[in-house]
Amino acid sequence: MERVAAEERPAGARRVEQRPIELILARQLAAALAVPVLLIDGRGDTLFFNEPAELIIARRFDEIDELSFEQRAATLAPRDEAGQPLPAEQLPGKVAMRERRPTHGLFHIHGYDGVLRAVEATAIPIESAGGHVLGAMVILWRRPEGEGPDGSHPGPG
Amino acid sequence: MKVTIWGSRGSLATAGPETVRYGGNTSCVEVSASDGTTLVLDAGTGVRSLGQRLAEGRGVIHVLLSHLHMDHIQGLGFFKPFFQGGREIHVWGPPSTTLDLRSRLTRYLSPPLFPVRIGDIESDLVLHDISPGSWHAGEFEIRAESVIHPGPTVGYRIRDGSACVAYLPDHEPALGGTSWTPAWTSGHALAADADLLIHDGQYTPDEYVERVGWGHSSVDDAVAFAEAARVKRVVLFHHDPDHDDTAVDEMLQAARRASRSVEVVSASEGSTFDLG
Repeated sequence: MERVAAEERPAGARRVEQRPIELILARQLAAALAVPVLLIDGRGDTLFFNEPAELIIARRFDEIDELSFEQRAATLAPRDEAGQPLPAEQLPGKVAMRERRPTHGLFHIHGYDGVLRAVEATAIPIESAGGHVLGAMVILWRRPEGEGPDGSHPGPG
Repeated sequence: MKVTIWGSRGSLATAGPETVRYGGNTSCVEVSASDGTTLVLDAGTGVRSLGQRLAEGRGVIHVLLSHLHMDHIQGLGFFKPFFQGGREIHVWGPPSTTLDLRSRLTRYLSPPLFPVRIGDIESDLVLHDISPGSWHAGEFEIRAESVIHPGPTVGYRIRDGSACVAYLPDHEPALGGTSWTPAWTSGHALAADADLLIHDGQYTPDEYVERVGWGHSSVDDAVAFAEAARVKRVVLFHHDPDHDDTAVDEMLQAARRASRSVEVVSASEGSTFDLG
């Protein structure tokens, strides 16, 4: 059977860009969770973040709507534990999708309010039944400032 | 394109005087084109009668399975063209993450559930694992996409020239949210601007509250989905086995009251829709 391209739409007709159901269900799940969650697509664009994540990003999702990967990287300006800029390709969401495995990372991000916050993130790739990586769910949580990877705090002096 | 309902019931065949108007056979819809191409949408118990008629000819038949729940495949073993030597029949359906369509169908078409094995079918049977996308069958352009329902499930969009029918018999889009925006609504891409949408309308709104996650829709959600997709007409489908004709009548009236722009009808066995 001959495979064909998606049907052409008449000129002027609205463009339908329905997301795959795996992402639709992931967004609905994220919206119901108390832990901060970002949902990104296969390119790394932010499709959604939930209310708990709004506290870290310091902006309501409804004010931003979807956010390209480049916009997100520029705004959040992630930094590693040493305070150096963290290459975007090393962010957990990107690694999870590239390597098709859950990925965990510790780093700092700026919120829209300009405040640098220490966070941990675990990203889970969303892979369809057909084997396509559609995106990732990135679960975030804030670390107290100065807390190390093992939860330890630097002592005085 | 001509669309004929051969089975409108969901879940379980429900014969009896109380279901005689809408019918008791489970999901089966025939779609035929002017060039003679025949599509059979699902193979519930309604496919037995359709098979008797199709056995009078020798043309190619395409059976499109939305998923492999029993009410959508139970009629396969009684589909007469399967046992016509040399008859070309294509069966399309979703694989799972670990099993292809043949392996999944074999679970039913083998003892102890059924005496005839899939290998005993005499026709020239070709099984196709569906992946999201489009293909041609005769004059028809067919598109399949995954939709929200337990287990691997697809809906279909079928075009013949300018006519378009969408078939989403088991579908719970509300599980993905009820914003009904195109990007975030399961099935929207299949149903958008269709002339005819055959859609799950198994429950009343009160029943749905008790059955969230079961994979089916209330009539109100079916209408809201249809309106968001700007279809011309929606056919409420997959009637609950516990709903007699009077109950389906009442649900249809409620759905019509809820509709602002879409013509609403309820699927009944034998009804046809000529889409030109």
